[in-house]
Amino acid sequence: MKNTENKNNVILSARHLVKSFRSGDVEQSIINGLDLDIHKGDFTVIMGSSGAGKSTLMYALSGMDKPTSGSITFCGEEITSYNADKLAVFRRKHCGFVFQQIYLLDRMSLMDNALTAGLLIGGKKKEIIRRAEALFEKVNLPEVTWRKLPSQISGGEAQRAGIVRAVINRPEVLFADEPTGALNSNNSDAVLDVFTELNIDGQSIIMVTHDKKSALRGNRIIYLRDGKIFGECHLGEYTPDNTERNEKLNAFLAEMNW
Amino acid sequence: MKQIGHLSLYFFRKDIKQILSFGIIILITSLILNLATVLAMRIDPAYARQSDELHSADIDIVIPKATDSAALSDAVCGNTSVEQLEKQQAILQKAVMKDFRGTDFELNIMFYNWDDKRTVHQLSCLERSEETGANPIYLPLYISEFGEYPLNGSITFSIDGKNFTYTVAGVVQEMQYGNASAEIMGVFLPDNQYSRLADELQGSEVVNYAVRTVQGADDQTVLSNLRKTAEEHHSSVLFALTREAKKQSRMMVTNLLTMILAAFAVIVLLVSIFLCQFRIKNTVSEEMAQMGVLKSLGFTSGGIIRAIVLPYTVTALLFSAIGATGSYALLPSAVNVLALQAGFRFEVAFSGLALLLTVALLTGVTLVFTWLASGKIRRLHPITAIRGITDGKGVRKNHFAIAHTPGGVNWVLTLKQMAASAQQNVLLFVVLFVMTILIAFSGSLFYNVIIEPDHFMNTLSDESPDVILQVSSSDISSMKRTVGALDGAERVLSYSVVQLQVEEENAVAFVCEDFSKTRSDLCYEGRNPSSGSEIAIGSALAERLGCGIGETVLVTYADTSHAYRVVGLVQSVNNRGEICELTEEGFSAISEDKIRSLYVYLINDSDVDNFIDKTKAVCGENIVSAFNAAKKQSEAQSMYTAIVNIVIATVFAVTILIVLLILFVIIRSMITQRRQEYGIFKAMGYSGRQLVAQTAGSLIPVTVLAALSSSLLGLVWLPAVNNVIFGMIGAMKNHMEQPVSVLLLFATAEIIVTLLISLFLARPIKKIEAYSLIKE
Repeated sequence: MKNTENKNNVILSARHLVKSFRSGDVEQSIINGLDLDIHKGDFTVIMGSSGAGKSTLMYALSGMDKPTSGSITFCGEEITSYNADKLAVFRRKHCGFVFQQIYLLDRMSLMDNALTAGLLIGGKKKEIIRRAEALFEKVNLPEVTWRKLPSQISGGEAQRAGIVRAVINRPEVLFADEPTGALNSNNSDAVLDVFTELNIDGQSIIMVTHDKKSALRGNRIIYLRDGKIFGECHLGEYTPDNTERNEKLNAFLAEMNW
Repeated sequence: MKQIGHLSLYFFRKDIKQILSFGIIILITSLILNLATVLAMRIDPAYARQSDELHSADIDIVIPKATDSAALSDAVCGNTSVEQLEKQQAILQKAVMKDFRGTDFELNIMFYNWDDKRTVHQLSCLERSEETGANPIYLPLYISEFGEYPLNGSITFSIDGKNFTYTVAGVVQEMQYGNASAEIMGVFLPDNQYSRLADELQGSEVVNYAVRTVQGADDQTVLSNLRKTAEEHHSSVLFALTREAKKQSRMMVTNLLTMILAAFAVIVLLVSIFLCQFRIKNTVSEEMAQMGVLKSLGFTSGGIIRAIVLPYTVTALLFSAIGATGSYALLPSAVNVLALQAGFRFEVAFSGLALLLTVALLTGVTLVFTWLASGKIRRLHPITAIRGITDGKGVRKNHFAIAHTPGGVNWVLTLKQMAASAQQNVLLFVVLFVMTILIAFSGSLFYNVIIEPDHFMNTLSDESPDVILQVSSSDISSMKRTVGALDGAERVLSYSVVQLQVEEENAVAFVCEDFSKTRSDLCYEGRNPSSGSEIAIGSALAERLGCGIGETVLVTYADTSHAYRVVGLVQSVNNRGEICELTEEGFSAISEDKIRSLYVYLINDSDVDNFIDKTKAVCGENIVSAFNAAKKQSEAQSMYTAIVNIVIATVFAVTILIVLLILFVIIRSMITQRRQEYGIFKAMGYSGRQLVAQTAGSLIPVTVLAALSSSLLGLVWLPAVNNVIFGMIGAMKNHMEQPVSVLLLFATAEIIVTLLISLFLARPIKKIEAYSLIKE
């Protein structure tokens, strides 16, 4: 479901976004007056070299971090003025996160990790448990694994459990920060397949990555340099074997001097 | 060594606030412990020194002057255990000291002649007036300070209805009859006043045999022998006390306080041991990766352990030294309070040995337990450590599975958090359990002294009517009827307190027409006497005479003796168990005198003064004196209430401080160890408030368990503790009760305070940002 061209489907919008950090007496800008619209159903990939501001942008858009100035609007609602508690409520209702380090709660089973997020927005416990079970099945984690602790499973299984936790509340946007960065090739593919499947089902995704193979899963590539959008490329719909998309991405990245 | 120093400094800086919390607890422990040690080490020698300086007697025996003879004194001197005898003239009278600390206080008073030369029981003048006013008197420290009769002020003694008023010309320190616990006190009148009083109170003159015994003599045995000697010379012993008995009665409060302080110090020390162990174990787990790096760089396990142990040991050394030194700031106040009760002033000088012992004990204990706690470092393999074997990797069980645990997610997460922290739960449980022991003790005191004061007062006091009337009328029965018919009177009893001898032991006898109608039941075994042939005797008498219920004892009053069958054992704190009970009928067998005092019990004890006025108006001259006993009781009660309020406030303040420090360390450790976890929760959308509530809530089950179990166990141990404490001061049966409701009330207050402190201390969780996960 690719809606890049449909301007009415903007779910997340940033205007004149600035994020800077103070280090001693020096103020360093990471994001420099950036404007960006994210469309519903898109699989947006943010790329760029180290220090370009990819993760900073993603966490600012998700309400995880506050921008220094500028505005972020989510479904027409300005979120930059929200306090910490309101941002927490915003995140639990509208956002899901997948991290490179996975960050499962290591004292809880995979099922409890998912339910900890799922039960946060209320609803009937049984229904949420059923939904978690369905999602675990969808990411190919068998029932025997649900009761395991994060320390008892592989990295790929853990990341798939992380995805279940991220999407259990049916977030409007799924934010993923280098989700395959800590995985081997086989596990990476399995995780990326889950992302693709979710996107095909209509899940909006914003993913930060260094990895070209991961980027190929997206339909829209944004390239950041020095805190600004340096280039943008639309790859079109993902197919498992799509040479045209691959070439397009290669050309774009070459143009970006990547 | 230099590297160890740097590393140690790093660990200190990292945990500075928690190490300082530990330091504060050590400071409190050291302060209390040093106070107890100094008191224990210094007061006994101070007492002995003072006694030696004043050349105190080892035995005092008071006999009527009329029965004294040169033959008796020769016989006493002839005893091989007697080193020195000094005979001191005095007037012995039961007198009421008017306005003694705001009330009237009846006591046996020995009026000595100030101008008599003394070699034994010398007096040390603490204060002396420049002006000698009319009727000067020299008072012992206890009467002057505790009774509130300042220099140049006046003091009135009421003896048999006559008032004798004197001006306080000086305050003396003496070791003869120094406080009220012995039921006899000495005051000193210049020659003129002494002679005048002797003329007024014909037949009251006595001789005090002040005896110094040879070194190594058993004073109690010598006293028994001297009693026999007096008997052989037809002299009756009115009072007899050994130096040890006087010391025990004077130092009772001091010894109790020292014991309580030492027990309190041990409790706080236990807390500090658990605390430093907990902190070190946490440091090892938090700094595991760094320790792996250090090991890979070539640091030995011993080196790292020394670096971790050093900050705690140095802190214990410093803070225990500060606490022990600081205790000297409190010492003068403590000593003043004790001196007031003990009736002699003593200087408690700095004790290097006490300080050394306190500091060495606290530092040593810290060193040993921190060393033991950091033993895990030895088993740490560098590579394993570098890879970061966090606590989570060691987790094997998913406690309280959300799907199967009833309740909302916040509740289940609270339970999970609680279940994941066994070590902190143990620490919190131990600390709260121990502190609740103190809280339960306060609760018990609160109930028995403030809510139901009769429990406490009846344990400590003898019979306590509302009014005591001394009557002159020979028709006591008619007086009883008249007084009993007055508006407000509930009942009237003939009741008197006399001094007599049971076998060869002196004793105070309570003589009453019917013991079943008294307010205080002094009997703790058997029963009170109910017929003329029966007697109940005090615990000390029973022990000394080796006599029990069913046996017969010979009682002598003046020159008449009669045998009585022992039917019960009775207690009296004021007379250290040297008492007996006789019925009025029984007393008539040894005395022709009728009882001339009436104990009046009123329906409403708030109107005692009016009742006394009414009695005087109706009975006129038949009333020799009317004593407001309810007021005395109430004064004593208000004093105990004030003390108990201070005890409760102190216990709560110390408990809150210690709980605050412990919770600070626990919650701080939780926040440090779970920083990432809190970040993950926040990323998921949990608010700071939810996480604070979960964290504080996770401590509640342990808090509730510790507080309730310790409180309820109080039902078992509090009676035992009360039995020991009151037994020590002669109350074999105490009326103290431990209502569950009061114990639970105090435990609930503790739980609420702990929850509020936890919520307050967990607030920094709000400041943890979800984004800090990524930044870290």
